Amino acid sequence: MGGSTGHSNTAATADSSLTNGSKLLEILNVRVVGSGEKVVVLSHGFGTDQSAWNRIVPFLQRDHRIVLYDLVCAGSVNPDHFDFRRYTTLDAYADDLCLILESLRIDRCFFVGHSVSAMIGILAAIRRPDLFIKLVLIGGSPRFLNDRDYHGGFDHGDAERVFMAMEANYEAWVRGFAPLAVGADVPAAVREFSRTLFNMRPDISLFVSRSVFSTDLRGVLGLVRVPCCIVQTARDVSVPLAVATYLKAHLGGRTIVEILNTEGHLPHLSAPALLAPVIRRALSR
Amino acid sequence: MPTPVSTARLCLAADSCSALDAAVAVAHRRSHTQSTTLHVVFALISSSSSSPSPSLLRDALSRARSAAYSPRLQFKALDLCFSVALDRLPSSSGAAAAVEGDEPPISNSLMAAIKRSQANQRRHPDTFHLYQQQQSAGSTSPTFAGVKVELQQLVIAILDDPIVSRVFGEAGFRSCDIKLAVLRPPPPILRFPRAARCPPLFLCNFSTAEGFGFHFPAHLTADGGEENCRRIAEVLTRKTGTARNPMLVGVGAAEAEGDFCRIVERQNWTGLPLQIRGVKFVSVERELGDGDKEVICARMLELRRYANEPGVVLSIGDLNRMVEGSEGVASCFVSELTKILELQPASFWLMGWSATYETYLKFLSRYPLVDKEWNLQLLPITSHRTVTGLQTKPPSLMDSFVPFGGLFPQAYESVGTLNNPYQSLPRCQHCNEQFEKEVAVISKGNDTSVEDQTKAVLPSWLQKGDVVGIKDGFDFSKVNDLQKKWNEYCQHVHRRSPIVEVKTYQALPHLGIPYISDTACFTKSTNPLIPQSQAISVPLATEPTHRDLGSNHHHKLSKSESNFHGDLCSRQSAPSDMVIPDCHTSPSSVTSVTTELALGAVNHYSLEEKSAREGLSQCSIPRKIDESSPSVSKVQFLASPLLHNSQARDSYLHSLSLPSGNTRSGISHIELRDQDLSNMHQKFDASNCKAFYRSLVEKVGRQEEALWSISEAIIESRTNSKKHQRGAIWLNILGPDRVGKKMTAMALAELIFGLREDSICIDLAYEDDNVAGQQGLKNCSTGFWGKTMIDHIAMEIGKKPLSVFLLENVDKADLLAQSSLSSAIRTGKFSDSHGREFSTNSSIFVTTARNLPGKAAAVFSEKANIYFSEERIFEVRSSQMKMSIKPFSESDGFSCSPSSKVSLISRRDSNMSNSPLPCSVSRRKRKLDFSGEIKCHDEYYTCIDRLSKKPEIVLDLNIPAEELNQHEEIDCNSESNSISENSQEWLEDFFDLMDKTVSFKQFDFDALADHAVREISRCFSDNVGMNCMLEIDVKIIEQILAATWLMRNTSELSVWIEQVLCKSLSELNEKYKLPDCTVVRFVAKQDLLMEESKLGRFLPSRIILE
Repeated sequence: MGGSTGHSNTAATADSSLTNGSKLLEILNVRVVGSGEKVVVLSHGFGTDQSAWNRIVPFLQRDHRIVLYDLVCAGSVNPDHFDFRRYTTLDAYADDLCLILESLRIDRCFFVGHSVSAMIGILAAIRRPDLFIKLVLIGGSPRFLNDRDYHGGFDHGDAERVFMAMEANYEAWVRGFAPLAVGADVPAAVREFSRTLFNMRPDISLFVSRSVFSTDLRGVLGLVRVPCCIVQTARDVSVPLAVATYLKAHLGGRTIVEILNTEGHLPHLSAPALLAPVIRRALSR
Repeated sequence: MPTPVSTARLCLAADSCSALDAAVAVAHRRSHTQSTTLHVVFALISSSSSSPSPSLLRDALSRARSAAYSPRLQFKALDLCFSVALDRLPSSSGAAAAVEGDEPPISNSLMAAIKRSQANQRRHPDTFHLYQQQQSAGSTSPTFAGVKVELQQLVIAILDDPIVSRVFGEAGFRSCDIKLAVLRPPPPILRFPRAARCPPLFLCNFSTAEGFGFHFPAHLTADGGEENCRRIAEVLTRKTGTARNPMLVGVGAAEAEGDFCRIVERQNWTGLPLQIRGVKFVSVERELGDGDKEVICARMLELRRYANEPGVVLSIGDLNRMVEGSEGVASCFVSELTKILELQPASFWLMGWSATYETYLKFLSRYPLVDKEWNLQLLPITSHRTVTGLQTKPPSLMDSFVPFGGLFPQAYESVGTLNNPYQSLPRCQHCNEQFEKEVAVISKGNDTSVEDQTKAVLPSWLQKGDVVGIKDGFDFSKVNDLQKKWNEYCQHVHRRSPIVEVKTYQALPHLGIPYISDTACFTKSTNPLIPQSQAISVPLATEPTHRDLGSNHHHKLSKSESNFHGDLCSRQSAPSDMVIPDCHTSPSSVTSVTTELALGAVNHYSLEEKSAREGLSQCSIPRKIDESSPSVSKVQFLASPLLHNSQARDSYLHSLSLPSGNTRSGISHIELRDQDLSNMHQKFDASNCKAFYRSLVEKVGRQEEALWSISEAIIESRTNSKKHQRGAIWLNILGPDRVGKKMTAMALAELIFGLREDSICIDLAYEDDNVAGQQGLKNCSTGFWGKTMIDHIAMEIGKKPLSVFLLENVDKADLLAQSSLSSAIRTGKFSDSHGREFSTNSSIFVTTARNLPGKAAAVFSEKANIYFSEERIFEVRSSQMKMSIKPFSESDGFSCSPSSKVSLISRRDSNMSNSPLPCSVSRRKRKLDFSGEIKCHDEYYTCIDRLSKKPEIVLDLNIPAEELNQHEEIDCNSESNSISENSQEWLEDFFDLMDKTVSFKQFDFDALADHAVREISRCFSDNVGMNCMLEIDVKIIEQILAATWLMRNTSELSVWIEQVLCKSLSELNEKYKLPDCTVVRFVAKQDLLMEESKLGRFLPSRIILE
């Protein structure tokens, strides 16, 4: 009933975790499309849902089995399932990811994560290095807030102002934020991003962004042993270029950086034709 | 059976409970037998401000009431209606009242409403918090039955009661309106449906919402503190012997440890498992930091004493101190600790933290195996507590946008309005700006609601769409007027200035291929004509700007436009819907307009095309439009060689009748096509093919063999249309000479569709090209954002089906494009990524590829000898040219012999060795490739072997050089390796479907270079004399080659050498009176880009002399 449905107890027995898993597959709208031996998990970022990958999927589905799912915070998931006590940190999301893969009986897969999902992928890969062949991190960042010798892109003040703007008038915030995040002049992408942002319940949206902003993966990047491919656009309001360099320097596995010659935080919406070949290339090695 | 009031109360939350009490009181006062839904509503409406809750319904009513009556009147009526309704209810006798006690029991209908709302609320996502509350309550009172109904839900359920809604109806309210108003909270900001059901659950709201007895746990502020403690505890409770001593790693690790310490010290065990409740937390961090061995040993002894207690968690704090501190102390500590851990594993825990994993690794490398001995469990800590509070000051909207403040209005506004391909504007740019300014003034003056403020910040296309749409008070008629004003103004004043986003569409040949060439002049038309006016191109969005439009159209257009403007909410978005193919408006509406126009128009326009061939980059062709009588002449095709003289060529007149302005879907045009097909096709035969070929060669100037195949293919595809099902012609050009391919496409466009601009060039490989980009072909690299390749192609096809589509690098097409192209060539329909289909039947497609994959070696066997490769010429920049003189010196390394008067130097080399390379011009006959044709420039062959051995630096132009260095591992490989293996099959299939595949030959740059050098040296010796030397920068030669590549024949180069170079040389000679043995340097100034001259992009009209 209600809020606790999505909750999976880590100490649960294998049996109950199976039922939990199938329940989770339903809750998070897990879909598997395409054919091929390689399994690719596409995980969307904050403010979008799995539909964000619609323009990427056609490029991959001939040769890959693609797992699509929604993060529990996405607008397309029944907000009942968002347990405010459970999803306080991104670890819970990483749990979900691992549970999904387990329930689908996927032993090894590629993981493509955007923004928040890049963080989730990193956490999951620390926990279960055996599950992942490679991480493709699009617009990922270990930490959004600036620190003494780290430039994450946001000051504390910035972040607080963003939260305040979200509270004060979510709609207005979305209208301001969406074009800014998309960056490039692509009205269709802005429309799409605004739509999915609006779909999120504002309180969940705020809650998740708070937990994202309080996340700091910098200390644990070295624990990632899986090879990574960092995809970054040339100009991204949320993630400065220096972050990609930081990730490359600190991630524990073999890591390459791909800079897309476009703008914005959501290249899969704004420049799918540019992004898709990069993903394909990353998946081919 | 009525329900006792007390039972009903159990189901209700506090506010609904008070509402129920009021209702029961009303019923009691009126001595009714039961309390019904009517009572509840009556109580809610009539009750004064004694209780806060009833205002909910009254608020809703005041918003839901019809505007036709005054509020007072309507509420009065409502009051009256309910009193009457209540009066009709059966009242109990006094005796009965006494028997049943004070409270009239709840009627079945009211109870049903309560049940309904209960169920509703249980299902409702926004009321999740109630279940939390209920769960916690559930443990204390297991008898608790159901959900506590909130007033809002109760009211909604009651409104569903037919009795109630009838009474509301009598008073002039519709209960669905009221329901909506109840659901929608008073400030109508939130439009999205889910949140609209109840006010958004912002965290700041929770403090005020505590009224209903709900406490949010502290961790709801999304700080991970408590979560971290939970995870630490989870590790601590593991079985002994397993890894149960947490080692926190992460930037937030120190904080997490602090949190845990605080919990333990405060004995705040609520969140922690039973096993570890009561543990002690001991930190030796400070002692370790001090580095006093004695103290530490003492502490360790002390620790052993703790063993009797429920347990000890020993914190060693920051690992950094262990790593950086004195080694002796640390290793002593480690060994002591290892002993303790061996002795008392059950009640002794260890924890530590490290901000980075690297530190932990260092620690491990210093004390190997310690992680096993200590049973350490690495625990990544990835979340911080939230740093600052959140309700610091009242949020103001403008403030909240400060970080974004000045950022996007300008940037997006300009981009949005001008570059947005979906918008078409009837005004010229200047007028449009003025118009927008005035609109802004109006909208600001209107009122200053929140929406308006947002609007000022928002990009214009957002403003005009949704924000304006949801605002009620905006005066649309004013905007309308303004728009009219500026349109008219623009029409009067700026008629000649280019109109934003106007495309001229020219349409003709569903009738087979009527081509226009020097040798052919034809008139034809069997169907009504359309005036070729710019206004037609965007039939709905444009004011009729053309004088010659018949009044009929005028009427049509303005009518449609006024309809258009009537719906002003969509004023900006609607045209875009119409113009772009991915619209939701049905395309048939557009088509119908154009078709009507086509049928109504009887004007005949003959176009006089002048100077069509003057200059490669000339885009606009002056047209004279004469009014003439309706033409009904049958198609005449005059392939008369008599017209083939230069005068006629320059100003030949072709009367074109344009069947329709249909630019979008193929509908009307297919209709027309059917009538006319029969008239046309028999006119083509072999002799026409020759004529066509001749004009094609004239316009391209090379690749004769391939052009002949192309002409054949085109003529054949038209003459044998019976067997040829599809309407489109598909040609494939393989091999090198990219510019030649483009020129061919343009020539085809000019010959078949009448204008060079009817060729649309799309590169499927996302390459940025320099040379070929801007020579009259549309450069498509801009406006490409956010669209996939096929959407882009589809849009172009939709916009302008009567064109030659040059699809370059088809071998690099992505998967989507591959499947779309395949289906297009098979079915005649090109589908975009949304599945919409565009008819390709009247288009010509020219695809190009370097060569068939796998056959590369054969085609380029001779590549090794080539010095000036096509790729190299492609990267040429158009710089200014400069001549300077310097005295000859022996150190330059070559002798002043007459045989090597002219030398080529390469800038790149000169930096290193500064040795000019003699270029021996040797006569050598070259075997001609095919018989019968004479190549004028192939007689000489230059040996520049030494040059060709120099390594070339290949730079990816898309990535700045610094970035290449910064991220060494950026892959520069193109995706060819991953894509080619699966596209090869496709390519072969695809090419098999083509009408014709031809191969272009290498453009012989080396021979041309030789020719150019020879010409220059002749010019040099004529003007300067035999005893001077000329050093030519290789860049100059490259530039000349690039220029010549774009030319139809090399005579234009000779003209340039004659007119510019020779003149400059003689000027130089006059100026300096060049003595013997002077070296004239002829170099390209790389930093100075030349502007386009009349000879094209690469040949400057004058040379700088120094």
